[in-house]
Amino acid sequence: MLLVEDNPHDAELTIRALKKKNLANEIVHLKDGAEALEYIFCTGRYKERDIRSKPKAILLDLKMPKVNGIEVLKAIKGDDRTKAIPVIVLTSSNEDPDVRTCYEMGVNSYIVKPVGFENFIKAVSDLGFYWLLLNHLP
Amino acid sequence: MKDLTETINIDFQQLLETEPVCYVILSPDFSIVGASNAMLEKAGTKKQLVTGKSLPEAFDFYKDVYSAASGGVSVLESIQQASVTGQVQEMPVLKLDIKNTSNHRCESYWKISHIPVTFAQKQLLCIIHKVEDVTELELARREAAHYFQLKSELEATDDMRIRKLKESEVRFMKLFDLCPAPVFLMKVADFQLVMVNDAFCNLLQAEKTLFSSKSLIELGFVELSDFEAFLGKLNHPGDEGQDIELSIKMASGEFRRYSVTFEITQFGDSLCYLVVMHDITNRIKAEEHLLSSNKFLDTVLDNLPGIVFVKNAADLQFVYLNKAGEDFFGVTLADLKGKNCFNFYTDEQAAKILEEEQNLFKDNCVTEFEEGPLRTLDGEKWLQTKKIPVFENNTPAFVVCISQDISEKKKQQDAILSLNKELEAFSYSVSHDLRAPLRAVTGYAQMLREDYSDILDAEGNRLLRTISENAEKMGKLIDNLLTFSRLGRKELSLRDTDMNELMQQVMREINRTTPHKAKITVANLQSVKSDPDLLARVMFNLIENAIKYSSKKANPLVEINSYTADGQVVFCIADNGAGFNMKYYDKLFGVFQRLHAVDEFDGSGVGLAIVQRIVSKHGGRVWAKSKLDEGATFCVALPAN
Repeated sequence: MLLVEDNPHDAELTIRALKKKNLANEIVHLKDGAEALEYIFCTGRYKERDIRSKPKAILLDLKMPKVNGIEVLKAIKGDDRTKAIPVIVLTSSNEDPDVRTCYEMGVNSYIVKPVGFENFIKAVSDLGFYWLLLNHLP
Repeated sequence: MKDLTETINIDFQQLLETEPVCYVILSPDFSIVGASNAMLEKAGTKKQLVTGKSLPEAFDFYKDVYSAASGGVSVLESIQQASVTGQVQEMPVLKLDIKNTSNHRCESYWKISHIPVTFAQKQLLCIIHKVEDVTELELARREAAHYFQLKSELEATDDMRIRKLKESEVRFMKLFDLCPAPVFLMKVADFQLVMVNDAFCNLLQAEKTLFSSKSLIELGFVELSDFEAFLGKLNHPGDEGQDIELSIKMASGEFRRYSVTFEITQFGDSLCYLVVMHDITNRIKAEEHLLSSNKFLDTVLDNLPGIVFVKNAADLQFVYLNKAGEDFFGVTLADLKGKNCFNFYTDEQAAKILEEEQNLFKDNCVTEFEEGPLRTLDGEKWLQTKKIPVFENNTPAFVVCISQDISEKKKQQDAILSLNKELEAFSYSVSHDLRAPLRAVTGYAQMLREDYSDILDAEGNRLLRTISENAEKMGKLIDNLLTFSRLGRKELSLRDTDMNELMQQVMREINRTTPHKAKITVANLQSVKSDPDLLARVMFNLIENAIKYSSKKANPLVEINSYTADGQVVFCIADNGAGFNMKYYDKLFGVFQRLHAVDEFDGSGVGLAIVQRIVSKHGGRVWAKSKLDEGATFCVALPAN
């Protein structure tokens, strides 16, 4: 699973929430949108990576420096190699108008931070993404 | 605008009624609009029988003289002349056969003049067809001619002729004195007066004897220069029978102006002028007044800061534009005349404007709208325009348009709008950025509680809980603020709303989020047109408040009902809780305004501000009444569909 989050505290809280339910065994944490694009499309620092090994899901923060979440989402959903990867957007508010933009661009679900386990379950069930849970829940 | 025209119409009426004149008012197409009582009486007809007809249709004695000229211009030609030139037209005396009251035809002599009346000195409003009955005068004149003719034949005459002459002399003298107009007989050679009639004596308040063998100059009744001009005209060949003016000094010292007709005739040994005087002072005053009325109107219109333009109803061409309009559009009235909006707008826009203006007359209503951006010499401008249909005799006559330059206002509005947007963007991003550290506070506090609560003692745990609670509260506050600022720009999506259904949703939400022990009764509620998501928010906030403020009562009670009044549906939410002091009512709906301390009743101070914002967006009204400690009732009135 890929977590794209620039705020270290938010990242720590999210990883902790996932770890607690044994969901974070293979979590990759990237600190900004530019790095995320390099990782996903195997360029720059990650050019050695195999693009066919796709993340099972991407948790994507919207508000990031340099390349923001919406631009990353646009790149993922605009490329045939990556558009099937489920993307869950992390937002700080239910009222965020960006969430609507994200849905228009094909995002699969969203979670309001801080990421609690209940939130996460809901987002995952929105995806019909039970196998992720089934694989990892005790 | 309307008032001005009315004032002027009233002026016309007053002017025309100052003397018992016979007149007919003709529209620009020469049909009859109205007639004075004197005229109607003379013709033995009624107003409703003549209105809308042409002169010969309405008055049969005009049939022979209307379009056929009898020794000069015809009546029709004179009217046309007046309407084309805008000048007063006077016709030579006309002989007419008019039925009198006993239905006998009798010979009448009428002096007819046509006075054009214009709007803003440019557009013909009507023509006054004015009639002066000069029958008696004319008869006197003719009799005099007859008398002098007979007298000149005297030398070769027999008894019969002498008798006839005497009869004629008597008739003449009688008519001469009976004649209502002042008449005098003056020698051609030295201008000495030979004879004057009673009317002349009355006019100058003098005995007949005063006048014998004196001239008007010697008697001081005329100014020398004026009299010389008058004599010049008398002596000018070809002027005979035409109007000449003379000013006579009254006993009061005032000069009155007379139009004069004269004939040169032999009287006794001398050649004399027989002069008949018609008082035209009133007519001239009327004309001057009319001119000054028009001038007044023009002055007012040209000095208005607003733009005034007038279009003809028939072809919707421009007929008038005031000074402010000329300056604004950079065109002169002369340029504009005869053009319509196709000359200034695209065909599509112009067709639309034309249709709207035609509809003005169909609906007979005034419209007001903003138009722009218009390209002018000073850049893009906005106008607030009011268009008024003007009818005359129930037929469309003009479109009067009054415009105000609102470009400045518009600019300010745009500035405010963009400022508001900026402010919203700012508050939005502030709310977002506030959230990140807040998340860290709650998140790390939770981590502390989860991993170290057994190491902390009771007081340590209490402090930790307090941190969490306050951080959460701040989160809610930020949420509310976001909602409030978002409402500012949200467009309503209005639908028919089943309020009973909506209330069930709200109650489910209340029961899910707000633990309470209140007894809540909901009556059958009336449906309304609303944005249901927003109205649910209103009801939620009001019910949540009612529950909160009644929570300290032994038997908390919340009642919800609705009624209809004055085309509005009113929803009321009443509780039996703490209430509030009406003294602070004006703070009730303000943002961050609270009437209770936080430790008494919790709250952010945004809930009612949100309620008010939503309700006013719906074009509705929210109010409350309460007494401290006796509960409160909040009412929301929305327009009933």
